[in-house]
Amino acid sequence: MSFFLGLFLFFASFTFVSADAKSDFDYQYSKHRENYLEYTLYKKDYLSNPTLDNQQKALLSAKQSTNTRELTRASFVAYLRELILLNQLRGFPLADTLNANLLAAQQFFLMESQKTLGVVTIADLDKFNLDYQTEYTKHERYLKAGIVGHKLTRLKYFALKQDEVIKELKNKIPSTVSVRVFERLETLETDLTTIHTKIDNLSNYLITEESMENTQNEIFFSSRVEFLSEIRSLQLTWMDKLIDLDLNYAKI
Amino acid sequence: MPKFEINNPEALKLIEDIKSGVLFKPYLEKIKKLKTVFIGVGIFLFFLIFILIGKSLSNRAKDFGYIPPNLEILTEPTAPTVNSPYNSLKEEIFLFSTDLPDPIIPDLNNTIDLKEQAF
Repeated sequence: MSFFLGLFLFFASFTFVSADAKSDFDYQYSKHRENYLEYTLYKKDYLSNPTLDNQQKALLSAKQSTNTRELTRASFVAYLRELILLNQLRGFPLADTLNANLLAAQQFFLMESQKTLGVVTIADLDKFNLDYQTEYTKHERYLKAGIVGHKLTRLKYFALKQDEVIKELKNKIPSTVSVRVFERLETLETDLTTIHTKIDNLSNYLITEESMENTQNEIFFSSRVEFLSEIRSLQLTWMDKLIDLDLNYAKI
Repeated sequence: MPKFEINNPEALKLIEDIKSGVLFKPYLEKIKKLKTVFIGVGIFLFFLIFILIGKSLSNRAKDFGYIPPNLEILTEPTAPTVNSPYNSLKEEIFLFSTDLPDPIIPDLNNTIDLKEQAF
């Protein structure tokens, strides 16, 4: 009984961690939306009637809004990291690189949220914004690459599962079946190698400097969707062929 | 057997009225006045009786033998379906979304300042 309870808690911990990061992000984002709305109203008041009192209110709300913006970004990156880590692909180059880049981005956003606490005057706010724009672009690239990478790590996870199932199936098929069945198994292995190659090629390209530059393009995401869909489609066709062999030839 | 003779004058009068039809005359007058009503009720009863007969016949007909199904209806084979243990992995791949961006990047303003917007 205690064994099953421990097993349940072990697997539940993965979903618990992901739900925690997601709920933290949802909370930070909703807080920022409230602060940002307040900032737009105070800014409008200050610009239409620039008294000292209105200036102080607008400055304080701008500071708060900037602070929660950075916390929102940091929590979003944390959520993305958790999604990638859930695929349990430590040792897979893409997963390790993405995790390292996203950790750097998360730390950047947290540091920036701390910096906003030192903003006292409008000049401080302007300087903060200027410095921020310079550094933000690099970390935005990590973020976008991370989103594509999260999908690729999931497809790699499926491909590794497919490695396991074909080994299982080969052990279940008796040696007395026709040569044609073994040829079909060999074709499946070749197709699976193709799937791995496609995933690895796209993963290796994703973390190059050239790909990082491309994250600024409008078609960055739409162009990658095609590749991801193609790999998923190959994996589904492969599963159909495997299941057909399993149902017709594998001994129970 | 002795011959039966009626000698009572009232009885003789009643017999005479029955024979001539005078006794029934008031009743026939009333019936003539309600002729339309009697005809209507008669027609209603006529249809009611035939509806009841038809219903009784159709109920009996349901019990008559085997009625074959329409040709369009196909019966499923009764052989048991076998599931592969690999269907769950296939379903996991099928349900996986390749949409991007996913998760969606929050839309945040990078320039929170107190300057006039330049249009």
